[in-house]
Amino acid sequence: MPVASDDTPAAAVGPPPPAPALAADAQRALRAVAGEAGLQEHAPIDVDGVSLAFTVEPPDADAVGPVLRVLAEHGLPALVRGGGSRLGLGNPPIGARLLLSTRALSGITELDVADGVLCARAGTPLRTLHDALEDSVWELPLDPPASHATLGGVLATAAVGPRHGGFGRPRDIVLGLDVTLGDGLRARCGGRVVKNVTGYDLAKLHIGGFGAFGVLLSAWLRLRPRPACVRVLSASLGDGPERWERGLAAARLPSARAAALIDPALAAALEPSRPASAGWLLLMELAGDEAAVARDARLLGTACEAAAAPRPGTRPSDGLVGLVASEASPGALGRLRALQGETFGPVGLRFRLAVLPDRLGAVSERLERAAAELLVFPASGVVFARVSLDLDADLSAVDRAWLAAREAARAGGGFAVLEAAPPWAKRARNVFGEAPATAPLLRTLKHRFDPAGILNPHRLP
Amino acid sequence: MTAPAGLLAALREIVGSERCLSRREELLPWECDGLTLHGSLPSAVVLPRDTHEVARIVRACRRFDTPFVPRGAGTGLSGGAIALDGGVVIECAKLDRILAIDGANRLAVVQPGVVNAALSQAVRPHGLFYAPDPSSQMACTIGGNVAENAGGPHTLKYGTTTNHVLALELVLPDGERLRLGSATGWSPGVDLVGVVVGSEGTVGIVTEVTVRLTPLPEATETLLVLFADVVSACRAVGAVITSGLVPAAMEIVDRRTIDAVEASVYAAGLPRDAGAVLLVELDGPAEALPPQIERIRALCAVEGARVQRARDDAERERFWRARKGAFGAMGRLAPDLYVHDAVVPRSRLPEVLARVGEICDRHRLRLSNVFHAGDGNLHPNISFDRRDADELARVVAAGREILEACVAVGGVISGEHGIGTEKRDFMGLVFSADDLEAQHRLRAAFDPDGVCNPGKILPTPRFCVEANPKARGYDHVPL
Ligand SMILES: Cc1cc2nc3c(=O)[nH]c(=O)nc-3n(C[C@H](O)[C@H](O)[C@H](O)COP(=O)(O)OP(=O)(O)OC[C@H]3O[C@@H](n4cnc5c(N)ncnc54)[C@H](O)[C@@H]3O)c2cc1C
Repeated sequence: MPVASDDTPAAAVGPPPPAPALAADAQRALRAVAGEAGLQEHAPIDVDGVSLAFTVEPPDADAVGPVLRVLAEHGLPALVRGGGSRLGLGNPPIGARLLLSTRALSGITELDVADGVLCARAGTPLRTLHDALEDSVWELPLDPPASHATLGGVLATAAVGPRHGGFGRPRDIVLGLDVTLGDGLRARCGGRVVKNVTGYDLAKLHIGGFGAFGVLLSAWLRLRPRPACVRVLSASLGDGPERWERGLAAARLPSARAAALIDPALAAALEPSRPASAGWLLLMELAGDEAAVARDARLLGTACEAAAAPRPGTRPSDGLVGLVASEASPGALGRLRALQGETFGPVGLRFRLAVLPDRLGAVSERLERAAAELLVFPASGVVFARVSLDLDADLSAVDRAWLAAREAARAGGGFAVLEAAPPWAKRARNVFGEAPATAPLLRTLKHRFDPAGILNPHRLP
Repeated sequence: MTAPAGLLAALREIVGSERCLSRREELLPWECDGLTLHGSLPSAVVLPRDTHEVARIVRACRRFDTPFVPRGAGTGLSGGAIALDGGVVIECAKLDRILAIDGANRLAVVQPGVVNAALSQAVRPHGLFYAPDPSSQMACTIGGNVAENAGGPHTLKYGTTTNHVLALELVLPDGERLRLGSATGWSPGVDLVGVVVGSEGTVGIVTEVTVRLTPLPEATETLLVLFADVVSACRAVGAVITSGLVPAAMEIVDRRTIDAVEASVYAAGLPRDAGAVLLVELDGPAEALPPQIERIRALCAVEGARVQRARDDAERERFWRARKGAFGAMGRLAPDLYVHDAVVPRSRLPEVLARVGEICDRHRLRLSNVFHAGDGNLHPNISFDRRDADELARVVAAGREILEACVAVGGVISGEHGIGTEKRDFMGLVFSADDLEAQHRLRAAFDPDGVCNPGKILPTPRFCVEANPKARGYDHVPL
């Protein structure tokens, strides 16, 4: 029985294709560079219908280049695996023959408390990084949903969690990278300082590059000061059209670190005691110093405009009138994070849309017509839409949902990406949408960084 | 080097003869940028008005095998906007329209020639501003800012240009137009916008920029903190940062700079007995600021500093005038000024400043420092007279030693001014040959034939930049 990754719904139509074997000479060559234990055969792991029964695990960063050269020589494309939590992101890795695990590349190599920067190897679980900073004045501004994600995986997929409003995105916190490119060339970019224009900003190619250009070895990260005060609040926004304006005004409060609007059905999963009739739920995390958090909490609860007396044009309380927020139940933010990363079964699709914040109303209306459940981050215009399919659904049902998501995204001035789907539904579709105008440039880049095409084949548009 | 006659005819056909310059005396203002030590005369200068003209100009240059260089206001400080090898300068200053302001979504769509400060001014009625604020903001353009990934004093809280560019239109080196990114600020796939920002005009010509706008802070407080010396000021900056406070800006001005400023039109009434001045700006909700001011007072008191708080906007502007006018004021110290730019881990500032002082003393050079202390971004400024060949040689020698000293503590050789021609040959201080090969691959994917701003960023033996004995000061930069 193939082991499914978190994001890959188990139910696939038809039996999985058999995992391809590796030729004996390729196995020998890989063991020669990765060590005897560095090549493992295991029960097939299914990633979007691609079945993989071997994992090569370079013992250290220096071994990654030789491993890639062997793979190129033997024409063996590999799917790079961090924690394995989000292997289903991107297009199906058609043609991949084995996994390349970064597990051995683990650990923090430097934590500079005076400057608030940290360097860690790519295979380090995020949990390890958060734990290392537990008693520090700094925190790691990464909170993607997957619990056992590794640093490399999060950076390669540019994954964000509910706190991306306050944390920024992976691209904003990476100061430098150490990478082995597809042909084995090891190249550093950036550095360990917080401001840097020394040469091309190559890190941007790798962050969100889905591992198509190189294997991340380690990264320098900029930490954030840990806030003195954190409060998680929730409020009911009802079902009326004003919920969008209110939600956006709340999400734009200066101390809002996370702010999500959750549709009534999903809200019931988040706050079990809440009646569905309460309509949409606003869940907010405020973080900062006491005075800033207290001010915003007051605006959320009572919308006491006079007290804030902001300058004209900067009224943070516009749109908040009438809102009544209260402390959310314990663990609500964690449940929100889990919800964001969840697919649900037995057969479901998850789309991620990015749209302009003032068009969220129009976007959600279209998505709701397609029976999608919605989780919305209004300040950044990010919408997660989940669509359940019937057990006997066929491709036309997938196409209808895809079309609705794309139309909604277009109405919102943005785009939609298919984040999770059963393998049969993903095949023959570009999960990033129509072939973008950038496709030829991306192909050229891919060719220059990975001439043999052995890294994460077919993942990119 | 002169442009092929056929090329000039083709360029004139595209933009008309008033917007195509080719006579030697017409070209002189384009011989260098803000770094007047490096110069090279272009073979022609063209001033397109729209993207279509830019694309046609690029294709014409390709037909005649002539390299080209995009240029904004020419305030760059690393020789990035000069044309080597008889290239054509494509100046984008006339692409200067703000195409759309979308207050609800906090974004604007602008052409690359829009001046940085003009953008902030235009969006102010919406309660917004454009956050990256280089000290040259009255003159420099958004296109130049994108190309250099420009920063400024408020980078500490708001980030550099790359954090504020949502989408771009680019004319590629083959003349094709390409849109990158999306107004939402997210990319469906690879972050090509992030790759183009900071590429110093070597991957194409930016013809449209969608920028993120930031709400004007509800309240702002500006503190002038007076220290006995630069080292104690740096220590205080470190204490503030590790305390968890995130000021909008933390800038240090040293004693020699204070003297120059106070003797100039930028005089701000800075006390002449202070060894260093730290300018701290805080912004945010009004009620959040007073406790922050108290914390900063306490942290600075440990270093024996005195804190003055700007009482009103007029006083705040006066404080800032002293900081932003520092480069101009330094013109009084000597005929020429070399503005260095390097970054070190912030906690290493005290020792690096001492080392930089020692290097300049050894070379008998006049050094002053005014810098973005919160980011560890140094600007050692050396005043000199280029007519003195011996002094010029010492300036160049000291420059290299300063960069080496920064790299030795984990720093880099540019924080905001870019590499251009100035530091191209120092890239090896920071990067290995393999690191540089990876950067070359990126560039070559956009520009396989090396026609777009060649001779910049990456060390290549082919292009020779000449020290430019004629150009002088910032005369042509309307600051
Ligand atoms: C007094 C003074 C103070 C300064 N202070 C700061 C500061 O605080 N922070 C800071 O970051 N910089 C500062 N600078 C440096 C300079 O102003 C910035 O680098 C600025 O971004 C350059 O903009 P520009 O329009 O003058 O560009 P230019 O100098 O004309 O060009 C700079 C680079 O951008 C490229 N370029 C220009 N337009 C385009 C385009 N449309 N498409 C593609 N490439 C293009 C050019 O090829 C060149 O490589 C300062 C300069 C001076 C003179």
